[in-house]
Amino acid sequence: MNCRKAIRQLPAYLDRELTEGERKDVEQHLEVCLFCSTELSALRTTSRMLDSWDAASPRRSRVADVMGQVRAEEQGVVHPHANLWAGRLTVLALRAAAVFVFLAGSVMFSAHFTGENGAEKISAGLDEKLQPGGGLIALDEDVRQNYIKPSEFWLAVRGMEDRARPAWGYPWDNPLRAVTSDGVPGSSVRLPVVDHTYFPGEGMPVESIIPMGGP
Amino acid sequence: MKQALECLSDEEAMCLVQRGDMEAFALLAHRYEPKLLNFLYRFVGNAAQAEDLVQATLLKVYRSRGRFRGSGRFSTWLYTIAANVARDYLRKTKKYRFVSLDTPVGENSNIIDFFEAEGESAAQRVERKEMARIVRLAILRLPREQRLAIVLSHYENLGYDEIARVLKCSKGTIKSRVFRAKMKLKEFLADYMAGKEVAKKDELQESDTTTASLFGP
Repeated sequence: MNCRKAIRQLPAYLDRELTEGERKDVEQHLEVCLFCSTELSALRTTSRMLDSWDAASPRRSRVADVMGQVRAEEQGVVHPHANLWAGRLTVLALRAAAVFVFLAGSVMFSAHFTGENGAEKISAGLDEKLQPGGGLIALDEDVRQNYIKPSEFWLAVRGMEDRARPAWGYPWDNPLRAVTSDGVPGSSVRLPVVDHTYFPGEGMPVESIIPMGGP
Repeated sequence: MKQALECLSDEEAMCLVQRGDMEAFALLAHRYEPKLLNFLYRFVGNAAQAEDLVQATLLKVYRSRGRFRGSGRFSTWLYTIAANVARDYLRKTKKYRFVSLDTPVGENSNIIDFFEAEGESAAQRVERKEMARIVRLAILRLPREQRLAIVLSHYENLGYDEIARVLKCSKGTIKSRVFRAKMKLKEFLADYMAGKEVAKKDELQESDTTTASLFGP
């Protein structure tokens, strides 16, 4: 086992989440590696520091409020699962609406990119979400033929205002480099592989594709 | 009757709730309120908001009672609901703000301290509170899913398998999130400790200078 692999196992080792074999491998490595032993001791210190954040206790219990609300709801409901079905129907209606909006949006997207100033229109129209692990954006034929010739692009993402400028230095301010899905100019755009550490949950909307020569 | 209820396991109590037993629901709510509060407090970083989220979670548990499957553990299902309620809340209110470790306490007045340990000196209390503040801010700097993983693993003492069931992902994903979170926390907290060491050395040097000048020629 090398240091890189050993270090990745250390938190799980401390949490007793390794298999017997994995645990033995880590321990064998620790016996001969000063660097990883130091890392382990630093992680132990970190865990002790985390313990200093005490538990909280409610200033006022909310159970009475919840029970009051539940009883009031029960008195207004005929069937005990009526709310569930209402909820399910709402979800179905919302999903149907979302599909409709998506289809309408696709038609508008295709219609959008036909003018002279292609790059600007691309910028205005893209709202794909950059997902962890990357993905594809299919491009309109007209855009492919006329505006996206090179095999490399830059993607600008938006929506970072609410997130920290991370101390570990991911370049939010720079657009991300993307290439066409098969390296051939004119096909769909492959979104860069994104570490989902930096994209928790919903993914980031792509604001623009910058087709020529980078930012 | 009440005593008999209290002997029920969570899952048995939940079966009664599904048959419309309000007392059983009150029992579960009382049983889990402190746990939920801690979990949500550590996830959103704000005590008042955490209390509101506890209420929202318990209501959602009651409203979704038909969806609980007796085959799984009640606590797993409860944590899943609480995590979803908190995620929705953070998304809707855009309260997902990172706070600087350099920000003075007063500027984060929305974060409330509940506890004061008994039997410790004023200096110890100040130091403990300062350390707790730094830890809290360091945890709040983590990305949301990593924060969930670390709160569930370190503070709620859940195993990776159970966390994976709560967050509906693989054990490998949880292992990776905990690893990343721990590494970042180690970095944040080491920076803080390094700063503290420097301050201590400066203080010592200053007191040495003062002593030297007192006893000097």
